[in-house]
Amino acid sequence: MKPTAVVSGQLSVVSRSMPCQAGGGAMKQTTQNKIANDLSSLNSSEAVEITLRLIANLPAPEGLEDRVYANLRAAQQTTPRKGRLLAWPAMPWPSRDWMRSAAAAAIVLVVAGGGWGIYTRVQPARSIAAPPHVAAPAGFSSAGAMRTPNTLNGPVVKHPATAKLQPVKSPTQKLHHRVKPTAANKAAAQPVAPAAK
Amino acid sequence: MSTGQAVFAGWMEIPTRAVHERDRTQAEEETLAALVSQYSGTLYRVAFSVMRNAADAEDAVQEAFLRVLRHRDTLHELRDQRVWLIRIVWNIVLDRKRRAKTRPETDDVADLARVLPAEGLSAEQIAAAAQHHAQVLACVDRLPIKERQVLMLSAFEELSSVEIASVLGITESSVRSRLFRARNLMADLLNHARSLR
Repeated sequence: MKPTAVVSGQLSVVSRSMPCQAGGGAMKQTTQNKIANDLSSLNSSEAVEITLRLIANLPAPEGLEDRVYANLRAAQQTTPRKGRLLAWPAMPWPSRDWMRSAAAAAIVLVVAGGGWGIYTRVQPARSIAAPPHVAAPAGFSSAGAMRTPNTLNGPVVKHPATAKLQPVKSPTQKLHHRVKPTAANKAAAQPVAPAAK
Repeated sequence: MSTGQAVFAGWMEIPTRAVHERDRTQAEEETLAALVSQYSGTLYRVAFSVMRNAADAEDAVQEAFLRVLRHRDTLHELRDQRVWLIRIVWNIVLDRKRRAKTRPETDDVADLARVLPAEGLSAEQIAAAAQHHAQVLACVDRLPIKERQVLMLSAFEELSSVEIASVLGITESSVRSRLFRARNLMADLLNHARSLR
């Protein structure tokens, strides 16, 4: 049988349920011998498997548990418990039912009296009379706003009418411009000379 | 019982609560001790597979159990305490490894050669085996982080693929595919390394 087959057989025989220390010793010895005898004959997957499994099967050092446990004990005394509930202090005298009821009544009385005292001193502001609220027909309120109708803005005169009135020409005058001026027309169009003084 | 008596009956429970508190504390301590004795070895091996240093691995285990101590109130709610613990220590060692990037790799290899089993081997064989492991681990370190994590966790016989998926927070099919890729990459890297020699 080839040595590589021996290694493979040993690795496959070890089951998960077996303790590491039980099957590990024989395997370690065989694989170690194998490595020492013929390193070059190992294929890559075997070499990796052997090395990693040797590391994975190393025994824990002596006294590891004791050291861990001692460390935990030391830390336990210094580490506060997270989210611890507050415990009620113990009553210094033997409790009785009537005392509990009286204490409860006293607490209620103090709380209610304090509330009443604050209420009587601080009076709420009187409400201001508001106009009657008319609900809008569509369901939304107008929040008391008074509606003013929109008025149309009229024309605004920018320049007041202070300019001179221009004489309006009659349509006949316009016609005269179009007619070819003749001597008679010219004479007629001539303004009348002012009378001699 | 009247209403008043019912309301204030809580005062009578103070001694009972104190007794319950003491019992609960004792039960938590027992649970914690059981966890330490049962899983400290497993956690150490997981931590060592990443840190490759005995002292660092033990520190990581101590810190993991201190974190458990802080969450001791919720221990009874856990479904799988083992996977939960491995996940805690895995996160711790990854975080520490990330922070301690400056540490020379030769320390890891020397430490590894010292702790790996070497009964019945000559000094020369031990040196050759250590060199072989160092070569394999150097190739492991060159893998992408996702593939590397799956490959390292797969070496632990007590972890199934479902549990590896739970530790890494991925699906089982992702674990399988990453493992397949990791093995192929490792084969390439190791063949390349051997061809260079």
